[in-house]
Amino acid sequence: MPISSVVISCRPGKIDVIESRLKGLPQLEIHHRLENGCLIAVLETETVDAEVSLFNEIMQTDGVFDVRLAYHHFEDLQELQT
Amino acid sequence: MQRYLLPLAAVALSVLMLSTALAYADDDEDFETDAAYAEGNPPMVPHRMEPGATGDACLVCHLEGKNGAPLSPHAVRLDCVQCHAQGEIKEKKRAAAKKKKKQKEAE
Amino acid sequence: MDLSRRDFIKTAAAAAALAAAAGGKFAETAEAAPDTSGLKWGKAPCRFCGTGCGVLVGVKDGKIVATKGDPKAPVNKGLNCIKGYFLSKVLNGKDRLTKPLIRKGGKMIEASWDEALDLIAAKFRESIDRNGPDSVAIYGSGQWTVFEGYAAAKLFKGGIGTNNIEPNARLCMASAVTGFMTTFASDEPMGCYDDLDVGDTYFLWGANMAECHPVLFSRLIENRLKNPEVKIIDFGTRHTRTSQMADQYIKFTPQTDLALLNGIAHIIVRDKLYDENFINQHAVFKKGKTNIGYGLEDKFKFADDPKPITFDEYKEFLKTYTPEYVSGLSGVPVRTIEEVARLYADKERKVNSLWTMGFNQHVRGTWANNLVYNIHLLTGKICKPGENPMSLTGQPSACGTTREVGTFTHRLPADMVVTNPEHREKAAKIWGIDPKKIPDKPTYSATEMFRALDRGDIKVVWVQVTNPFQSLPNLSRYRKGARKGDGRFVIVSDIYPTRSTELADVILPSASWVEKEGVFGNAERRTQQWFKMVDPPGEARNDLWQTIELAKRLGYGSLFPYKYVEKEMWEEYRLFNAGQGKDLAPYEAYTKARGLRWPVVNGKETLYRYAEGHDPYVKPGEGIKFYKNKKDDGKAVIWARPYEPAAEAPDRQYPFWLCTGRVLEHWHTGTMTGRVPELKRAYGAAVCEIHPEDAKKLGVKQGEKVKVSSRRGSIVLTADLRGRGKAEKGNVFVAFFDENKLINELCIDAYCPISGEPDFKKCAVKLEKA
Repeated sequence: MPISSVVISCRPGKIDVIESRLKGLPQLEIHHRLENGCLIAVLETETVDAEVSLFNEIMQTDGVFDVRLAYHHFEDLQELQT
Repeated sequence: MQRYLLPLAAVALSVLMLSTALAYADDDEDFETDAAYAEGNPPMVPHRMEPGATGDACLVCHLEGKNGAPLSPHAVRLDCVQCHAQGEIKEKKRAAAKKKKKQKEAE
Repeated sequence: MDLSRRDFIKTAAAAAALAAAAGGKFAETAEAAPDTSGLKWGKAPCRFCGTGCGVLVGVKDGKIVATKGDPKAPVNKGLNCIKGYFLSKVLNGKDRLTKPLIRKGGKMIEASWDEALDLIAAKFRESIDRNGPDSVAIYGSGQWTVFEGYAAAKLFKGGIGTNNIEPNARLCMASAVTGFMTTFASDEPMGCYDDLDVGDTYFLWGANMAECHPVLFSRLIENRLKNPEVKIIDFGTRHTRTSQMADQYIKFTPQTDLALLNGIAHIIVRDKLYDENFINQHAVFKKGKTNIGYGLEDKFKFADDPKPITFDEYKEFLKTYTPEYVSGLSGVPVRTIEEVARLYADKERKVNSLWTMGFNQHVRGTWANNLVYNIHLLTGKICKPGENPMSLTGQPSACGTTREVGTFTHRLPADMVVTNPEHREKAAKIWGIDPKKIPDKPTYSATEMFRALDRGDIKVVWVQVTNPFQSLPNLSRYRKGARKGDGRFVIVSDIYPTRSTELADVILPSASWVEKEGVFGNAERRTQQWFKMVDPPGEARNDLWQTIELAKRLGYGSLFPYKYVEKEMWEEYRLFNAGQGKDLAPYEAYTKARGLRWPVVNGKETLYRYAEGHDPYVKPGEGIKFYKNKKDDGKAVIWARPYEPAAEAPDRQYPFWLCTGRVLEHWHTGTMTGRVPELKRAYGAAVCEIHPEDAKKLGVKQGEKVKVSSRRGSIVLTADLRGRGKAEKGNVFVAFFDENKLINELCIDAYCPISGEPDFKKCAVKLEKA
């Protein structure tokens, strides 16, 4: 159940298009839009693999020129609790 | 990260990827993406640190950016010095630069 | 995860990102964003400690350009420690060894590989013919890859026919091994790192985890952040960063850990806090010899004589260790001992014990390991998620290579021993040799091996991937021994000039880490593989290739008939472990996974050994079974081990305890980390940690020079009264990474008679203002 947050740097004029495209993704929540053209998003996925793939998707989105991981949190305790 | 993809190809790619989002999890190893996702290297500390200081001391400034300190993006990590080791102290740098300037002026 | 907690984390994550972005940390224009295209990435475990963090290595134009913490590695989840973050620089020092060097007339002259290897083979041949196979030896390392260790063991035991193979792990983990073998009849922990995330009580015994296993310590701290019930208690002889961050720091007089452990058991038994059911089902009681000596004489020999005792006899044995007696010995208040015992036995708590060198580098190291297992066995807090004693490993592959492959004088792979004819048969069968080839008697432990070199009983020794002429105790003797001539021939394979290469007759430039394909095994039984990613510099070659080349020249090339050496060797090595509760997966599995914890059966790794539902070797209905201990019907052993004093305690002439160890920024003898400018700047030279009151009595102020002397050597150091580590009164601490300050010259080469591991933590010194 990894949760992470990213800062998405958008090319000038693209932020609306990017935001509407990313809003469609189920494991992603846009939390903030910054004046400097960055979006703050929180990712929540089932596995780390899925999280990394989602990250890749954001990277490949047209208009996005940088995605930086700001924080990630792991909590895989379910299977260990009896 | 520079994007060299043509806008058209990028759009096509994005659409393709959006529809196959879940299938990605079963793909072969993609170390490049893993690496892009990984955090960068921790900056060294440019100021003097008390030898016994632990996270609580660091966060006095770095939790909310007091005294112009950069904000910590991971304030939940409390053993700061495990990654952020003592770097070159700024005052020493300034002093060294001053000395150099003086030497130059003397010539 | 419940909804509210999830929401909290997501809010925190968003806030963190906002803070990071608002702090101006990130690039705001396309131009400023760094170009990481064109880098080829691969996975590897870190080169340094036994934690075994996952690292991603970025290569461009044949050079390591960047490394990052691997976000997919379960061990560290994207985090590294400061040493790990500099991995990309560690192999690029200016003075990398690039050509073989032969000593001619007191100077080291460049030579070709053929010339060097032919010379080495000739020296081996000469000594074997003249003095027998036991006159040659190889000293390897817990930083050897599995392949390098396996090749060395096969060549020496199965080819040359000598048991003269020892690793530097004899100096770090041997007591942990004998502790495991005497208590459970099988090496390596039953738990895994997951225990760090789900337990709630952690006793650290003489282990400065914050500096020496930083990423594991981070997991503890994160656990405590999530769960305020978590308690971290630091038992130590000096106040460290770990003590600072722990919930409680309990200082004790060196060596009295033995008494404390028995004292805790005493209270558990006295107040009937033990789990009677568990003890009946899963434990037996034994005692061994006492007054077992200190290994100070050459050729010291010891054989224990275990005898079964009853629970009542064990209770009788514990009677001496009253809280008052233990308090008097150790300096720990009676109340604290009572509290600790209650905490250990608390049925509501998931208790873990963690230790490394404090217990292992100890003249009664085996006993210390036995005694901590006793507490977990008495209370039944073992083999359950979040409740385990965990022996932490120091080196990256002391487990994977030296302990699992068995590169010790008495060992064969998979816990087998040379003294057992069945084991020799099995090894001979897999190796395709006559079982009579493998000698049936162990020869020397590491310290004894270098004593033998000093005496001349060993003439030729090959050192690979380690630096004994900086790291051995009572160092001066062994440094002199190496250069006594009279047929002695020392070969050192390394990547940089070290205090060992300077005493060598031949220096072989070697490949390191991702300059070769390799496998390491970390402290939680996780075997991790990596591919070669860059070429070593100049003419440097892989140690594995070097060993096989020697084998060929000595006529044992048939032992290595492999084409794809690493993979085929792995598949052969696997045969030893199959069906033994130590099963390893096929090679491909490791090339894909971020490591797998053995036993790996049917592709599934094992988190908890000996536990039903986790360990495939435990049958349904058995619950917990220590199945490797067939002699005691699958039960573990609770040992009656007494407190015995240190080899050399402070006296009127030498009134201080000297303890040695590591610091965060440097690895072992600092040959790699010392060549990274940032790490060298962060911690440049070894200092002497002294308590301010002791310093005052000596008239020594912060930063002034102090002369530290033992009966074996003397050294001048800068005094540190208020560093990150604070010595207790009557104690001093010096790190051993500094090649200009050979503190090990002062250390005593006394060792645990059962494990052969020297005590680097306790000897007597005097201090004078210099």
